[in-house]
Amino acid sequence: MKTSDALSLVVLAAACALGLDQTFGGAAGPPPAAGSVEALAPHTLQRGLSAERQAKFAAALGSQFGSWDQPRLPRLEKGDALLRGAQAYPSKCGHCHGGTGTANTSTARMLMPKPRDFSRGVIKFTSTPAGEPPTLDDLQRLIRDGVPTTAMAGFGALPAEEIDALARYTRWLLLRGAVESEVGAALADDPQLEPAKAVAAAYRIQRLEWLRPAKGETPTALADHVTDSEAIARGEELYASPRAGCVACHGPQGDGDGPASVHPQTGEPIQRDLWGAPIRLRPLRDGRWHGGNKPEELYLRIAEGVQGTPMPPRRNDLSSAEISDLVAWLLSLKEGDRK
Amino acid sequence: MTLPSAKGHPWIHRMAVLAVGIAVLLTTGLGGAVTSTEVGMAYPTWPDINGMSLFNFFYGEIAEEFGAGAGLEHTHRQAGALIGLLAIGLIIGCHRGGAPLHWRRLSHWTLGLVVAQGALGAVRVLGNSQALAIVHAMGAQLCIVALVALAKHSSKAWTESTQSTAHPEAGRLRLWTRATFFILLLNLVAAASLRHKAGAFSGHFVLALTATVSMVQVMRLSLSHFKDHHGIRAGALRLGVLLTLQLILGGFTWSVLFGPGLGWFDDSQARFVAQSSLATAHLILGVSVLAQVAALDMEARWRVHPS
Repeated sequence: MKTSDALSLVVLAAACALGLDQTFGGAAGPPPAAGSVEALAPHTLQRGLSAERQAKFAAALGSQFGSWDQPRLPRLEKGDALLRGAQAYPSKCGHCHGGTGTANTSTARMLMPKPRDFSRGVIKFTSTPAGEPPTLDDLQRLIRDGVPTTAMAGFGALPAEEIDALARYTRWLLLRGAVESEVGAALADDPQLEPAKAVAAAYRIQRLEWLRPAKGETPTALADHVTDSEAIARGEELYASPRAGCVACHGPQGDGDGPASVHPQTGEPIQRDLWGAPIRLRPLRDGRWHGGNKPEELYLRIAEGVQGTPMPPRRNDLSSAEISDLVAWLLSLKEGDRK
Repeated sequence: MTLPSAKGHPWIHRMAVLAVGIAVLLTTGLGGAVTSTEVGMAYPTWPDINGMSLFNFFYGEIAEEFGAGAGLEHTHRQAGALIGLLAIGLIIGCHRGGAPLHWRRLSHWTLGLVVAQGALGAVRVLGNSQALAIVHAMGAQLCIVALVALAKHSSKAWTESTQSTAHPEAGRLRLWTRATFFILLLNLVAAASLRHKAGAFSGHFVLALTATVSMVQVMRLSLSHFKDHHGIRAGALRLGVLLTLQLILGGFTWSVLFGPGLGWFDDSQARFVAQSSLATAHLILGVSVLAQVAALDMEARWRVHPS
């Protein structure tokens, strides 16, 4: 073998080793210890807490919630479903959502929209009123059915017990994140606040909310209502009215180009969601919505809003019949049928 | 080394070429589309299709009942079965036609690989295993290489002239074609891992660059030292064209998945279609590149030898 060939092959072999290391070493590795500062979410680390307080805060969270593979939710979770969820999560969910649920993974960086970061304690598409936590059913549905037109595929092929276990573990991540968000903000405001006491107090209150979240209501006759031509006409008229306020963001034609949504000159999105991502509203005539395409799902999106985004709940401004009319009109939209 | 004379089996060659075309464009292409559109678990059952037979050709009804993604997975399975039938046809053709021993062995290997690939697909679905999905993706490449080998050995150019030519650079060419083949396999592992969300993009990028350097070396050796050898020269030129197209397509795929191309689409559905189409086309071309490198390796091993 020529020396030049040998040297070249050695260099290429080293490059291959680097490539393989990047491929598998860069994937979701073991998460940091649950009670360590490294386990704190990025938004917590940006609050300007002292190193000592960060360490105490992290230790308090670790003590309250257990570790990533030995999680606990005192007086909320019994049985071994949570532990089974902890075992299944890394292989089923970790490469997108990350070992700590912050979606800070190399896979997440390649996806748009990005996988949900659970460390804020919020997910967008729930059946509960604005400000309420999701139900276990919400989480099971999302895992089973996925989120249309995103990389969150449906895992409906998994056994029901495994979906339930993953839902419980996701709830654990969210609740941990909710407490971390709430207490992190409180610690930043009050330098005298003791992290361990604050975490315990926040958990006591949050636990009750997460145990039995209120459920959003949908009209019983919605399925029939949405096919009524008069309801569709009323919905179209309501959409364009100032009272409904839809046009400000969604635009007059529903293309997501309203003045509150995109910059008039550049066309760049103006608003961001809770996780800092720019909000590009999808064209309503797309006919496929991340929150689901069923009438009751659309109803809840309008009535209760989309958590973590500027889409507000409208149940106090619009009647149930009016929201149903809007749903009827949305479902009637098809490409090319719009005026 | 001299190959045994193998004249008079044009139909075996035609069938092998047909199988390569179907395997690359249809079976692997559809399989790639399945992954690109994330419908690999559209049918969590095997061998039936959610209670239906594999040999159901009412695609409209399937899509209506189970969704378009299920239709994609359905046709992928059917294309896999078609390759299996062709592989059986090749064995029968080789044995009944009195083809040379090495053809018959290749046909046995091909069927074995195709059957293993089908079994892998079944276990992947039944176990919902991401790891096996990646192995299944790699298995497809090996099936195609086996079919390419049979197509090459049964080609007119090979059957009519079985002599191997002595050449001082033959050893180097063999070294580099074989090294390139293995680097490409590693790159495909990285790419499959990336597509199944088990690996980072940076790994695929590094390995793709490494494979490109290696392929450029193969082309350089082939075109500088084997100008009079039609098979090697033509293979190197084809490799150059495929590689150029693949690099361009790779750039576009990266752009719509990670880069500035994300902003080209306001409509998320259009973006999804573009992303999955480009990723699938990039995969098909990648398979073609591997097949061409394998073909060049065969030329280097069977048609020339070190002097």
